[in-house]
Amino acid sequence: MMSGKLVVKRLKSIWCCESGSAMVETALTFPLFVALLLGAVELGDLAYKANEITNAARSGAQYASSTGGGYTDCDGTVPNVASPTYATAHSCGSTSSPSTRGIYVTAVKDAPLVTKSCTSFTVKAATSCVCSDNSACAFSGSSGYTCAKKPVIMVSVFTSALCSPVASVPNLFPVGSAFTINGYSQQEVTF
Amino acid sequence: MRLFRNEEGQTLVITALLMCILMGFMALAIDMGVTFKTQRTVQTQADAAVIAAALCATYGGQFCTRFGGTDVGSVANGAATANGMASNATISVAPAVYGQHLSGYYEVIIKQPSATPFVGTFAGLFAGGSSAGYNPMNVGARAVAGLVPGTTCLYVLNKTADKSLYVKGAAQITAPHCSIQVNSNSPSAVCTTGNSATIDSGQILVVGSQGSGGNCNQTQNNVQSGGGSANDPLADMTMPDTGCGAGNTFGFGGGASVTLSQSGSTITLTNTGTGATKTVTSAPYSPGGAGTPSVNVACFSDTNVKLTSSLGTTSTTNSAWVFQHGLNVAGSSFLTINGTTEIQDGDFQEANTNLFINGPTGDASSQPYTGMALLVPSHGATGPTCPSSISSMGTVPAGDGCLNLQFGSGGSPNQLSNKCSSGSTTPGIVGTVYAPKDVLYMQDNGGCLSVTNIIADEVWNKSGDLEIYNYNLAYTTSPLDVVRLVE
Repeated sequence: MMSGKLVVKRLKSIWCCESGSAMVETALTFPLFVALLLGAVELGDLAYKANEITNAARSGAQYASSTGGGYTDCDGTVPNVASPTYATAHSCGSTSSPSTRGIYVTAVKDAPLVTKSCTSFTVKAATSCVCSDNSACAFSGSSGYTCAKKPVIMVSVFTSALCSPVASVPNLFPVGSAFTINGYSQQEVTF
Repeated sequence: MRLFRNEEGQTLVITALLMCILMGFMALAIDMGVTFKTQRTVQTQADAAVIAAALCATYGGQFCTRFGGTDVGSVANGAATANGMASNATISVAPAVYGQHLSGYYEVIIKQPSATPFVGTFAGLFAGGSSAGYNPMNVGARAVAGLVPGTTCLYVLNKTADKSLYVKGAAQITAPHCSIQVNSNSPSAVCTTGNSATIDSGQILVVGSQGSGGNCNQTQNNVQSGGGSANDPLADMTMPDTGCGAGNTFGFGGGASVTLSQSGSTITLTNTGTGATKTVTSAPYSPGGAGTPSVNVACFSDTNVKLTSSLGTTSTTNSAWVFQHGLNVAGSSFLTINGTTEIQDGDFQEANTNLFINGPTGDASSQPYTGMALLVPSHGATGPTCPSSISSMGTVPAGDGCLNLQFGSGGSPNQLSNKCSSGSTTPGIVGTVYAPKDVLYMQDNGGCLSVTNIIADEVWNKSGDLEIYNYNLAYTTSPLDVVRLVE
């Protein structure tokens, strides 16, 4: 049977003595550090991916811009040239014919991390055309846009991807949650 | 001194102090991330803006009204805004003043204050600083664009044909300083057959790909497949025939047999049947409209005018000779045509001729057809017919004609600095051959042709030697120049 004195002594030895207190305090603050670190990694990762996705859109647009106007659209269909809002953006993909998937290929090559670690990487492109003398562009699948004068072709490229957080934290970054990151670039085709 | 011996809470204090520093690092990292992202975005805006500005300055018209603009400055501003330029950014659009590309180039510089949210917020914490008076970091981007010589010297325009660039037998295509564009999406758009068939080019850009095996048993190493197709770069060029009028069109009609010759500066058209003659004069014509550069045009309306002497002089190459129904230069003598030669309709016969065509070499600001040597814009109702031997190469697409170049194997005079490798002098075309509706066919048996640019529907070379020297070697400005982002 432990005497009351002994219990007090024991308790004193728990509360009074300072050995190990630093470890306890470190243990208390450690989650904070981890949270900070995770936050920094997460933000950095997100910023990098956002940059890549913007860059991919720019690359795709620049590629179309510098091919000399043979471009129609990334799936070769006739976009709504009357609409300046590019509401009729078409998805580009490896299923399109080689002549029109250049935008897609260029965009993919410029976003290595995103295509590797994100899902649903999509590239859409829209084109508008008017002739330099303000007449309407003629379009055919085999010859693209043609004008009596030069065609003024504008290419818009939209990119987006669904990127999951690097670390999954329940209730904060739950498993399976993901951010949609978008990129956009619009350029004129040069002649 | 129990106060100092008690180490309770020590780590918490250190952590709190450390946290300030850590937060500072975090702030720096995030601010730098935001700044880099801003820089990338601003560069995208500058690129789009300068392309819009250069296109407007070069071509005018609707190129200046895109993005809600009216002139070079506003169209560039609109392009940058369409790419997300912030309202607090400043943009300057002006002819380039920095760097390698100056005259004729446009320069766009965009400066945007970066948000740097943390530095902005914490600036107020420090002595002398305040959030309100804080000057944000300016992120800038610069882009330069302008008219540069096109890098493509051989355009094969047909979009679907099999073997649209076909080199067979002891044939070669040499284009060391430029690239070849093949628009066909066929899996065998480029085909080389025979052990000595070669294509030497900086790059062969093909929409489809290079054929292999069977009839295409040779492989070219520098073929890039799956690229984009290119538009006919001269599609909107107004042809010299538009300048043919009553005063400068000559002919006898009635199917007369006609020869064309020049003695001194006098050009004479002779009806060999009746002996009647006409003195040919040319008239100035401005294809771009009144007030734009003009060319001296003379037109010939008879069928197959036979050329018996050289035409034009080197001092007056700003001439255009329009053969409305064909030209015949067959014969073995050396003939030179100085000036742009247009075959509007009818046949172009030059079999085994030592023919030279010198396109105008002046600046485009004074000579509208600078660099244009042989123009066959459409073969019309009767024009260039195909020799029977072409069937060994393939089937000519419906609606196409043949531009059958069968030049002789050379001798003097020497007109191009670079010649076909055999050592003999080569008949040559100094300038562009434009035949968008024709198959350019060489069946030369050792003959050789030098030319600066070719634009054709298809190119079939059977035992011929075709050398192509890029435009920028001969001309300062040309209709084949393209607007490009250069810096």
